[in-house]
Amino acid sequence: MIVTIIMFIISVFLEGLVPNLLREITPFFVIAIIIIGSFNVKDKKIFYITCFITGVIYDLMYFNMIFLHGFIYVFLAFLSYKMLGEKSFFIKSLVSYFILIIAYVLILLLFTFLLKKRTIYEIIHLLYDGVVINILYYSLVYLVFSVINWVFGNRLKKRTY
Amino acid sequence: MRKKINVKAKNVKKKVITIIITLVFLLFTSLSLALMNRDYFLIEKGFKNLSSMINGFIISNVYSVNGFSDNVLSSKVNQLEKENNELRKNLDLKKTKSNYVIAQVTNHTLKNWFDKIEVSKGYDDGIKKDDVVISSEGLIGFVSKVSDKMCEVNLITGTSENNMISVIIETKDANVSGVLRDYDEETGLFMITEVMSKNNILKGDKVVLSGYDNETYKGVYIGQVVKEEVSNYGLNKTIWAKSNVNFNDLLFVAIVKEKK
Repeated sequence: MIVTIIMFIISVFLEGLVPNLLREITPFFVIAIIIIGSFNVKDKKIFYITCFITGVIYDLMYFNMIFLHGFIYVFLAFLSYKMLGEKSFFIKSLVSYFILIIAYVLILLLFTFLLKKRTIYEIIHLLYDGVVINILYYSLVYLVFSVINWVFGNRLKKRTY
Repeated sequence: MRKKINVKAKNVKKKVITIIITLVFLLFTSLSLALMNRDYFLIEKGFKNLSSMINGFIISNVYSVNGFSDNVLSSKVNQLEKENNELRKNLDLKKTKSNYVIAQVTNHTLKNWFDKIEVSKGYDDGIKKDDVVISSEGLIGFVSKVSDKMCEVNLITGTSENNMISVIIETKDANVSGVLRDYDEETGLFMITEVMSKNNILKGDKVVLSGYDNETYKGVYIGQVVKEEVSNYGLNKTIWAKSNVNFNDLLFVAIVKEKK
């Protein structure tokens, strides 16, 4: 759980920093942690609370809707549990990652359509802009969690013996 | 036994209804807060200042601002301002001296959804609401909210019927007034309407701020005319203008401050 919280904090900061350094890229790093955290964290309640707090902090730092991202991230965590369950392979989780990104973009479009008219061109632009960097980040985080699980898994086995 | 089940079911129903009502209320509050023309809350200021300081520190160590500030000083915007100052001298008007504050763009997240950016200068640097934000290529937007260490800028790509901009088209014969009403995302062109003039508006004519609400901003370059459409039996014209600013690649901006 501590590792998940640390990764959430890093992802929130990177989501603000990366578009400033690599412009025309839309990162979705927090969603990557939601997916990977959902099959690494056993306690669902605590995970939902963590997602909500992360969403509120994200809104306070980068957006101007105080609670919206809190609810969006909880909803995405719920979807992730439904799609993946407790164990997941890399490809399956990667596909779920893209499904959650589409869900996230559609939810935000629903809320912001009052302020600005949207075109399909804009939506597609948002989705394909940062595909490479999102995949790279997801792969890196998946690797980090896999290594941590393997290390702690081995230590537990040694203790039981 | 049946009574117990019924009571349990009722309790579950009550909980679900409470959760749904709370959810709808909080989402409604979120949307209202975004739509309202409000200042930052205290806790919001704290988080935004922190985010702006961290991002600004990293950007200033990765990119150099020297080239940008030189470009702004030698840009068309400065040339037009010099012309304005000379005109004011001739007419014995009080001369206003403006200077620029260079700021880093520290938050691009709002750009995709609300046509806004956040930059790393605020009250501490003398920035006020409605200050003009420019680059060497032309007008970027106007300051909408200010905090101590950062401010929010409304991009002109978010122009709509609720926040139109008064402009002047500089033709060969005379200056023509118009209103910048909309931005077409697909073509990247700005729509200028309320142009009622018999003067010929040619492709390449400059579009600048009219400065009717603030003389300092008169003549700030926006773009050039690309095409003209005549409507209403030739009574009205709709002008389409293109800006040279790449709104997807903003790193440094200059905020024009007015000094009297």
